[in-house]
Amino acid sequence: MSTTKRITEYLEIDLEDRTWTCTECAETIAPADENYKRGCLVRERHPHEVHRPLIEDADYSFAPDPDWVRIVEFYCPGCGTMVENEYLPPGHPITHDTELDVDALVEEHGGSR
Amino acid sequence: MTVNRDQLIDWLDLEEPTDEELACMDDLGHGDYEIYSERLRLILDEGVDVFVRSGVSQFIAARDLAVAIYTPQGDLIDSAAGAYLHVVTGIPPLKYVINNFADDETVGVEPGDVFYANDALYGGIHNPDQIAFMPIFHEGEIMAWVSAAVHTTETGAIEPGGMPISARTRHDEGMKLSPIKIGEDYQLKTDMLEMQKNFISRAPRMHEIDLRARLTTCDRVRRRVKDLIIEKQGPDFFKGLIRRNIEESRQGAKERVDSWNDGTFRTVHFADSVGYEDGLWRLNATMEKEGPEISIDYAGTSPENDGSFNSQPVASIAHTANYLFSVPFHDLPKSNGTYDLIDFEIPKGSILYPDAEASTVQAVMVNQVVMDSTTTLFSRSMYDDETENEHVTAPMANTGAGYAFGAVSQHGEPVADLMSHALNTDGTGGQARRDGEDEAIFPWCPFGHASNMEFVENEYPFTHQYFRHGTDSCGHGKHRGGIGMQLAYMQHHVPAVEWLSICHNSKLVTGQGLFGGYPPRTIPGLTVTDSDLKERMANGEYVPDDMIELLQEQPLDADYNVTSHVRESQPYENGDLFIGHSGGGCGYGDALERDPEAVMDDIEADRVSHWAAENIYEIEYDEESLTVDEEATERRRERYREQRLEEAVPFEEFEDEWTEKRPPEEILEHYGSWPEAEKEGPVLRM
Repeated sequence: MSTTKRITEYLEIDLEDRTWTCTECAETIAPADENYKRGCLVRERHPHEVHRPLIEDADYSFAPDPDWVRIVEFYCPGCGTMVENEYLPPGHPITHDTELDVDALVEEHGGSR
Repeated sequence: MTVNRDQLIDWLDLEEPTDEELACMDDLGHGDYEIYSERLRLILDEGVDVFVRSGVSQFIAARDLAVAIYTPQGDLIDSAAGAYLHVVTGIPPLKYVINNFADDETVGVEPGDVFYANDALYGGIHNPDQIAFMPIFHEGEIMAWVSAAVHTTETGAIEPGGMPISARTRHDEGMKLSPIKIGEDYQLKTDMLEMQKNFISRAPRMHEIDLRARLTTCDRVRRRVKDLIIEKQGPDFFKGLIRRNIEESRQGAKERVDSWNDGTFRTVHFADSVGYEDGLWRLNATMEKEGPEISIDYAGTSPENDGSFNSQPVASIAHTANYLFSVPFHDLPKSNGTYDLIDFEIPKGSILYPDAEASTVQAVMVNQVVMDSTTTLFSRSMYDDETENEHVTAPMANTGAGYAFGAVSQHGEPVADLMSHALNTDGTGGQARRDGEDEAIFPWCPFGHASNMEFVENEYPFTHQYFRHGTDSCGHGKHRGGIGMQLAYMQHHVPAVEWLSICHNSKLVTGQGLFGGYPPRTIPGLTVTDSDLKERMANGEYVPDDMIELLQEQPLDADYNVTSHVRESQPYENGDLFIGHSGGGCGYGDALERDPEAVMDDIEADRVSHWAAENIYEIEYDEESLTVDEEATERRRERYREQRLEEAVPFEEFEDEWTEKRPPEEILEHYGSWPEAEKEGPVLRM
């Protein structure tokens, strides 16, 4: 039986296999020492799909301006849970937000070295 | 310029305790610390009450202030706040006095002296934030220092209200005092008072009252500490007590940090304003966490600019205190023992460490991204099922929408102030365990509150047309962020009132959701001018009380002006509406996991719209009865998860297409090079 360490609301590290896995469906997503986002399915969304403009065709619509920012959603490839999203200007590099010291995790919580 | 700003940053670390202080700490008896540290906090709390009762401006009435006590070497022992950043920024100017003036025979430090400072170059936030210090003497020895700090009404800058958006250099910002002695022998010096009132000629009466409030507060705390602790228990007891207080803070934070996951955590946040211009810039933060030690590096943050949206480095660091002292270390003494564990790297030439001549008067607006970033970085490191994630949270709104006005009041008095209603009603972030709080707090001051509207209307020449929930203003998620507030000031009694407003989040929002939660919507500016509002009121006709209604139905015969939330100073006539709103907190977790019944409760309370229930939360329900069809909702959500997977693509495929995109060139003027945000040339300040 694998030993896991929960890292986020929807992601944990399998300390035996050293992989990111989904807490909702146990899908293996990516090696633990890589950016988990690289193992996700990714969808770019227009911000008005999530934030309804209060006025149409205006410079300031009370919703994020798509020239300034897009929504990038990262899904577990097994179950479609949105494990993270980022609001980024178009083309801005994706953030490697969590780069764990996997050896330290294994040492503290068990698993293979 | 004589100030070494790297020295100011270093001063945030603890001074080495003396052998005598450590011995005194060891000599404390059982229960001494527990009883007298509480007594010290109660004295500081009394100082806050005295401050509130003695002052007049909105920030004081709203308790957006800080009272603190420091060691003889200038380290923070504890505080009552209020605005935690003020207690951190008390350290550098105090250490400046101790290191440069205490042994200077033309200055010196004597019993009854009062020092004052408000220049951000010496470690403050920006020059409206002003701090008074007094030493506590006992038998000729300095035992401690006390401070009282608050944002002040006016600074005599090139625009009214203390935060001139159009400032281009530090010389446009009005009164700036390096640490200076303004009182001797327990008296405020008349010439020093006259000098300040001369700077603050737009509102001299208010400035004098608030200045005296700071001094009154310092002296009350000084007397209480001397009478109730030092003279009651002796100076050695006091030395041991304050050292123990710092050690409790340092050790408590150390143990907590040590238990979090080690690794490297990164965030990036974007803002949309540089002065009156729309302009994209970013904060890039990397946190290395190993055992009990943390370092945060802001390399990759956009370069400084020639406007007022810059920050001095100590001001940026101090903004982390708003989160650290109110969330992960809320139950520990508020001392810079905490800061002993954290190193900060702030790149020179960035918006967080500009040239010394730069204007930094909008430092608080710049540093809202530091607050967003700190929250996210720490939450990513500390997630752990075993602790039930009590402190894991998405960022608060951190908008701090500032509405400043100047006018001659209905009483014939010149008045100017920065209103506290929007500031103190930001929503907090959705948390691992619960939703964020609605219209909760001033993220810069967790214990502040919006001031009493009747009090405001008695003093100032405008009324509150409405003051209510901003529907759908939260960041959605499994646990949604807290709702923001919307309000409208109607000009009344007088021909005109001059207003300006300061806030990001018109084109995008600075916050990012956490673990799949969404950040909130944008909040640009709206004014309604030349309207028939007063005529309707006089005739007893319907008047609107909601911003969305005003925007979408335009029920008044009026001019409707939708602009950036950064609005230039200009007069608004009697009957005009100056409309504002605070921000919602960021959301936490996938919205498809939100309890549908919670969404129904939110609809019933006007917090969330039917549109959101349909399009964000994917709920099947009856719009009339708000009855959820649970099975149909589950099926609908499952279909939507499948739709996600069908429409999404593998990361590499996404990246190939994504990296070909780029924002329009016209919004990148202040960003730096794309996408690295490196400085591309010198900044000319004329």
